[in-house]
Amino acid sequence: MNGYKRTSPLQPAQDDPSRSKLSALSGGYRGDLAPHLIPPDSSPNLEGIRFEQGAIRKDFGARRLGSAASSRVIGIGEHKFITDQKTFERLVRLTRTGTSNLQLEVLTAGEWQVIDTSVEEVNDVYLSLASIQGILMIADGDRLFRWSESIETEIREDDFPAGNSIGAMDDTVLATVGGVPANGNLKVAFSTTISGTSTDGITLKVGVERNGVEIDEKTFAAPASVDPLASESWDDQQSTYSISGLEDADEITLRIKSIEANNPNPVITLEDEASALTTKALAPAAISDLYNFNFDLDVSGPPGSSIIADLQFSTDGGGSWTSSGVAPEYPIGTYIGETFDITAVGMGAGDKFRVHRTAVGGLAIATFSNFTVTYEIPPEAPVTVEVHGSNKTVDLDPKAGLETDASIDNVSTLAVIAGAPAARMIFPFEDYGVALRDGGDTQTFSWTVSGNMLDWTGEGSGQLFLVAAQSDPIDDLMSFATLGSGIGALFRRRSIMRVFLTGNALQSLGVVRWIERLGTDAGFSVQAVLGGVMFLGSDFQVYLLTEQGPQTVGTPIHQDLIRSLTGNLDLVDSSYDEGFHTYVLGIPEAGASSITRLWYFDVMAFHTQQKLVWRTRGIEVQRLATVSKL
Amino acid sequence: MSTNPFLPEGRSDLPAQRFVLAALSGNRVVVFEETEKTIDGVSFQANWDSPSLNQELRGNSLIQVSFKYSAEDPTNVVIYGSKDGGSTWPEQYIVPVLGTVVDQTFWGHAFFEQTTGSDLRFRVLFNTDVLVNVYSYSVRVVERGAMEFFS
Repeated sequence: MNGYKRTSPLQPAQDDPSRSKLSALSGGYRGDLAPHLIPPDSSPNLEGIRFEQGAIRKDFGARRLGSAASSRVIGIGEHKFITDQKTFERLVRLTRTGTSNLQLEVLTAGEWQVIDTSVEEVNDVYLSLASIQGILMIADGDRLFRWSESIETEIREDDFPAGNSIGAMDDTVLATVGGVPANGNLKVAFSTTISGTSTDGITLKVGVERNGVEIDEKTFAAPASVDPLASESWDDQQSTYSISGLEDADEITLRIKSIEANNPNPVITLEDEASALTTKALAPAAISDLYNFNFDLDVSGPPGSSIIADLQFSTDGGGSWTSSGVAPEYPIGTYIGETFDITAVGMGAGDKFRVHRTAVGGLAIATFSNFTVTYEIPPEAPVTVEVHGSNKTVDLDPKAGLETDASIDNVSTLAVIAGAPAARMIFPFEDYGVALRDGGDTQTFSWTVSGNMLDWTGEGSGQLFLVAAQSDPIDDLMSFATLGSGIGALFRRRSIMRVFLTGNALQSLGVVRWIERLGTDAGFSVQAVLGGVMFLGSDFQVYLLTEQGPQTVGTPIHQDLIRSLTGNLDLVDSSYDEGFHTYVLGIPEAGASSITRLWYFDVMAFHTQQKLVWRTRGIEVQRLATVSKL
Repeated sequence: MSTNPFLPEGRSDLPAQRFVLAALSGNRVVVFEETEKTIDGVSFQANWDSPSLNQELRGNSLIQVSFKYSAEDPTNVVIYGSKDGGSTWPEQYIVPVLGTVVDQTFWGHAFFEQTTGSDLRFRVLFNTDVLVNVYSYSVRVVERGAMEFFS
């Protein structure tokens, strides 16, 4: 047979316009359409691809965290908790030891560190993890473990420099936190002394700074005193602070912010208007022997006459007079506010000043008024302050300059919670821990006391035996997710129930029927995502569940899942990347004993463009997880 | 083209729950990251297959595949051609691509001589550790008429 007998001569190229135009390639995988019907931006087969700016590119690679575990990893998760004013994010790896005990490791400085091993055995299953109110809850189907950490501390002491002393404005002295604090507790100790005389008292303000930022201001006040020996002391004053983020090498500084004191002997003003003769009242001589004369003067008399005003002082009470050397001459006229500084050495109590007038060129007459002599005398004792940051080691102060809490041990508790139900799955819901038990015909939905994850029997806790099922005789409890405020979805194999807060402390949670003929056989496929909850349905369709009900989003991969998901659906796992809003579904293909393929769904593209964009990569995985910090 | 297109400059992480972890075979825990080109040091390939290029029940020949791309470094992209709906990929064309030019795109071209059939497809294979973004493509398909083909 001539296979080419009907071959036409080569025709000119006839490009299909729909195949030639430029378009993005981010349509994703389409397994639900015949290959010739798939849009040009989509693919009937892709592997290890991701989409970026509408383009296709290789998917991200992966970096190993620490060494490999000695046995299969049955749980990975992040445990977040707050203790001693610090937030902790522990990346946890869970394995089963050779003796079937639960071993918990934490990634520390890039390597896995064994923190604890349970006394109790653990099942070789995917573990359900939930970090709730400071406790990591771990369920294996028969037990409910708790892991928590608390920090044991001791006081760490750091000193200010030996012999330190500051006394002037803006003087500082510094001490450094010498180790990693376990929390934000800080005590700062220093001594203060104020000396000197004052009329209104002396006020000293000392600032306490952390890394240059003031965290406190301490005020010390000494009362008014004329006693030259007056002194007030505050020894080893210790103040306590709670500082978020206190760290190793933080600098704690004492700074003199202000010294406020009144001069006990302020400017003395002496007056004698009538005689232009005055007496110095107080014993101390003026500072630098300077005295200031002030007066008004009216000079009258024959034309051309004048007055010489010789400013004099007497150091023997008026017995003899000495000219200060200041002797201005005033012609006839009126003078207001005349002022002169003179130097008068040797003045004491009772000594006097005067103006000696001499007429020049006739009988001129001078009339003084507002005559004053003013001068300043020094205080009897100067104000001094001293601030001393405490030094226990060398100066033998009773307290160290700084006290912080140093961590000496992390106390780890990994054990089965007494009184807790045998839980297959554990979830947070509002202030409660919620546990599911799929024990054959005993389908138990249990919850804790509000706010206490360790109390499953106290007031407010409870459990419901969900024996009545419409869609399936047993209808195992498979998973749970919070849908909205006070609303949760309880996934069973063939139905979904609605969980709500009752407001009744004696029966805190209520459960009602919601969706029948749809549930999940893959409890670990349930994942909270943007705008709802995604899960692999019991019909192998992937759904986005909202309070309005389920929406199918897995149509492009539905046939693939039906074809490949022939093994144990308990091995299905999932994760969610909030950075890219991507739901990750891990499935074991063709009866494999672990996940062999990851399917990725672009949740954001669904919300913004109503597009079902799926992509995939083949990779062997034991467990999936998402964490916020590495 | 940035090697970290999703991270603002100066940021090494984002606050969201955005690090996807997996425990792989060999009990190794890994984190998927945009800066990583391998899986725990092992290179991997990625491919994207086109839909069928035949829009009618007619035979066609795949003549040329052109694609718009950018790359962080010079490398190669392999374009395969299939005439049987991707069952076999007998013809390949290695396209050298340019790189290192920020935000600039180029066109690459692959030419085929023997890919004639009723279900033509092409495959883009990324088989190096160099990042290449392929934004779009254009194909030249010649109609061969309604005919039966023999291999």
